[in-house]
Amino acid sequence: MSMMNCGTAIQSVLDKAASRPGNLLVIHVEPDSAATPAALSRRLSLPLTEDAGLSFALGCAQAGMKTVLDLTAIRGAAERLGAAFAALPGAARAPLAIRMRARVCPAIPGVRVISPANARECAGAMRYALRSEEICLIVENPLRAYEACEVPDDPDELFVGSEPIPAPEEPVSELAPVPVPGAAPEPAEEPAPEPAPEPAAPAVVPGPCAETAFRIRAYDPAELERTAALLGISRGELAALCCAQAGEKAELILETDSQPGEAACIPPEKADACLWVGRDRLTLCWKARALSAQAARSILSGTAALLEVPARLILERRE
Amino acid sequence: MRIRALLSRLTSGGENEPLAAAAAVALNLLEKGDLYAGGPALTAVADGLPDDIRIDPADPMMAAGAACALQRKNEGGVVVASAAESDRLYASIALAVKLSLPLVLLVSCREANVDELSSRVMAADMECIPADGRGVMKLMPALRLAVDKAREGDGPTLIECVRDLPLDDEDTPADPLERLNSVLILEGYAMPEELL
Repeated sequence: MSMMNCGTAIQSVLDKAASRPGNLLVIHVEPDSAATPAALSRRLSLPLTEDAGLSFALGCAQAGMKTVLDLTAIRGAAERLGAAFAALPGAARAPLAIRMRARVCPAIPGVRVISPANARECAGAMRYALRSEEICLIVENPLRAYEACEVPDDPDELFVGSEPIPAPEEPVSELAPVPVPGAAPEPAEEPAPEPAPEPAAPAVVPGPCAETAFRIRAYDPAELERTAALLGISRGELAALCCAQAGEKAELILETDSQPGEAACIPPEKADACLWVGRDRLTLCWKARALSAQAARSILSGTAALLEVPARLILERRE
Repeated sequence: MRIRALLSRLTSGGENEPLAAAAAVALNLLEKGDLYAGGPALTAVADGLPDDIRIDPADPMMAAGAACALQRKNEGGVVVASAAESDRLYASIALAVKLSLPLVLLVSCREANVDELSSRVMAADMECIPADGRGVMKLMPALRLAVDKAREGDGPTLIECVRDLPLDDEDTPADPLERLNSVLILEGYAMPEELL
């Protein structure tokens, strides 16, 4: 047990993995750096963009290396990584651990997104990613990067994120018609000893949300204000970030001054989707014709990660 | 004859694939533990090759990553990748040179563009070998040189597979498979009826 912050906790896990014989390779991508031709080192620093780094790392993974792609030096990688994955053919996917820093947790089909909240969870997430046979994206919150906490030296303590959204078999355009599956409860974030193989899933994409009247309502305005202040942004920017989870074309109405049940610009029963922000929970009601269940789930988990609301997520589907 | 079988398999789609001859030669030269990159994924070369080998251009950055993995395994593995001319190709060339990766890139080009491609590749300090992309016998020495060089850890090579070089004489067929057939018959390796 030792005091560590998120970066040192993950580094410690990687150091231990690198000290064992095996095929571990850590690729640190930094656009302005120079490539380090360290012959047989376990670490490699490459001057690439995030999509080129992703291709390079996937090539390493396909050739049998346990690859960790470190994108923490790239600002805004979270927004662009989703597009890079969408353009990736299904056959190119291979077990890979990606590490990045972002305040907004992206939802990428076919990728297990793990958003640890502290150093202990960061270490568990990296241990899980190194053992996993799927693509794991560890999203560290930059606001908590330097917060230290006790990290036990337990090699079996794992931290598993939510189940990944099934990857489409082939890249699909955002405006393609989407099958709407039934609602499913949000899985609890519990450590699992071994990753279970993913069942074959139908080709589904998380969108679209175009033309969706989307609204966010906070039960407690002070809570939302506090969160916005913590993130160093205005309430409007916070609303826009929440809205970004739903897609760029979604219309967002943020209400912080009304009480539950009060009449508002769009009555909740007429809105296509409605997100309720409470002290200890998030509730999302949506209409199936406007939003797929997977899109709803990704909005909910993304917003929960953004607002750092304890993970009590409620999905409610309207007909 | 093995190259002929590979070439016959790679051109069985009926489409005029400019890299078919180069891919057939490369697959003939690769050994167990080597990788071939064509289309979206990598194909491991084992005792037998899978049925669905692709010869359309692969992502050269992914091929560079695979070459990096083989380099770290230090078992003498080589990656041969078909690639198309693009910014990503030049980025991967720069990286492959810097890291001295065991990578051979096959790029199809026209005769008019050979000089431009050569100058850009050589500016990145990468060896560049132009060859007739339709002639198996002309691709063979270039590819053998490149694969052996990569296997010995001497860095990457780009093979320019020129797809419209003038034919040696008017009797030379343009189709790579027909051209190989005529060479096999002329050299006495096969009888015409065996190649039907």
